[in-house]
Amino acid sequence: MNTLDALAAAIVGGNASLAKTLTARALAEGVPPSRVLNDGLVAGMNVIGVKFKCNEFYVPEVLIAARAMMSAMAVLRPVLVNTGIKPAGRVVIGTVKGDLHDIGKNLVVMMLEGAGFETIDLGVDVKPEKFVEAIRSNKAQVVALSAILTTTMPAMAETLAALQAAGVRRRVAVIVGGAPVTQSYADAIGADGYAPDAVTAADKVKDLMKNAPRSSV
Amino acid sequence: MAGLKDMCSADDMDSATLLEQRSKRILQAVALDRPDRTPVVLEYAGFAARVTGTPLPEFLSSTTKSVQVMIEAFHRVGNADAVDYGSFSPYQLSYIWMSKVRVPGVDLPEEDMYQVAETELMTVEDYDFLLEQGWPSFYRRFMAERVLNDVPAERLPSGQPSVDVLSEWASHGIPVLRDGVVSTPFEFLCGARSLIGFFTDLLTIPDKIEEAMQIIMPHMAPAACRRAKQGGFPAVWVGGWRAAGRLISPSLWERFVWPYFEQLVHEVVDCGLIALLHLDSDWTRDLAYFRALPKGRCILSTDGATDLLKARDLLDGHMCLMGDVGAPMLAFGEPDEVYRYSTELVSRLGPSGFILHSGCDIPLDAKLANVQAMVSAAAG
Repeated sequence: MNTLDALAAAIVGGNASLAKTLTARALAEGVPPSRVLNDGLVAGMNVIGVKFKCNEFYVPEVLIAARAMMSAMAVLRPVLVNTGIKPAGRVVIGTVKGDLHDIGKNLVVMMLEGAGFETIDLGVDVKPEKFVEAIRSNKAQVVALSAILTTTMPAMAETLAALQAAGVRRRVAVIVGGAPVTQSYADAIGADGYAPDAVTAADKVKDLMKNAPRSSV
Repeated sequence: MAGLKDMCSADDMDSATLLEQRSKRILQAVALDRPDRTPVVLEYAGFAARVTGTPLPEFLSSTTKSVQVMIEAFHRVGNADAVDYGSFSPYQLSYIWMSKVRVPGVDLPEEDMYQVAETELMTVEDYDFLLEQGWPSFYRRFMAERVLNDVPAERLPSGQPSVDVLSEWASHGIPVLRDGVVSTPFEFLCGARSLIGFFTDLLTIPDKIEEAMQIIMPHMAPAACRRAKQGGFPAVWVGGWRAAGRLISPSLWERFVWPYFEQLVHEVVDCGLIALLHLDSDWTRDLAYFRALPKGRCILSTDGATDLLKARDLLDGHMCLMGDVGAPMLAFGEPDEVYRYSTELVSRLGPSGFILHSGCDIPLDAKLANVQAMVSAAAG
């Protein structure tokens, strides 16, 4: 097994220390950083996504894979920055105004980073204007909104309205999720996508980037 | 509370008779007999404040106030048979989640919803302290030092005058199903470590987790059962939220969830109580296991995520089902839609062994007309 295949396998197995070692080894062997990222780390996380969707893996397995991925990224990221390699896309993410829940949102962040996206995590209880500001300042292509309470779901619609009012709505794809959120609610408020779980969220963001590429703000 | 008497549906019948009639209907459903009609049980807290026009901080200020407001809300809805629980303090959530709760008027703006603020209050190293100290000592110190350390004693239920919840409701002819809550060690540890930390632990230090669970387990059911018996409540919650099969693999579930869950249910039932299985998230995959639980002594209460029709297929003639008009439908739907869905539940899951209910709590922002539509699907 070559180093990149072994790296992908270490990610799938959630072996953080091995993933870190193999990342350093691949770089030392002269493998281009972009290949380490795409053929090692992202390839491993893609396997995780497939296994999750066919109920072979569940949330704990996804979590330890993401932890291995982050461990490897700690080695790889400085090299990527120096070589000017761009992320798959830039996603602003946060839990909407009035809502303090962040577990689901954090899982989505892990899966997005595992898919090669750069995330700007605004945390919880995020006001609409803060989303607007982050989209602008980071030139994000996607914004992901989370809500876990029916009482805070309307803040998703408020955020979309704020994006519209600020003139950034057409330049950014919006994806929503959270326990009480449904596809029909996403449609009703005019979001571009809905995901019931973190793995689907990463897939959906990839689709949004592919099918409706957005220009920078 | 002015005018409450006028709103009370007990006008034509004295409270004792009404209480007996409603209780009988529910107990028949639990025992898998055929009641005169499908019973309907309400579960709510914040909704009571909103529907009665009570500011949330006032509603949450004392157990006594919560009981008054919840009873008033019951009458506003009208025609339901019982409530799941009859008093509320947001800090009750802290005790079962081992997490801080943020409360409107205290930590949040007055109009915001109370929420569990889940963070990693328990570290990996704390498992060793737990194993050394034993559960009662560890839990007491953990709650005092890390969870409730910034909550004045007078805000906690234990720092307030006690209320005879069951009698308060009974005087209005309304049965209350449960008082105490028990849950598996899985749920307590998951709340204290936070989901991300605990789910990682399940794979990285499984033997230590198992050891901790075995230390914790003997302390889960006895106090809640004793309290329910003393208070005269018929049921105890056996709760599950993060232990759902939707989230963890069959092998983890079989090792860390089911043996504990099954044991708790037997302990509750052996005390002569009904085990009210309050299950959030999707438990569909593992419903067949529930056939091992005592027949006619449990209520499977789901939140809309578990497939209740599949539950009926697997548990017909074995366990009463309760559900599952979901929070989004009650908040954002229309009465016709709620009535249609509720009627379908009644016709497909009744008439024996079914109780119509919301999926988990009726949300704070549920429309009163929607809740009334749910009730009317069973009560006419």
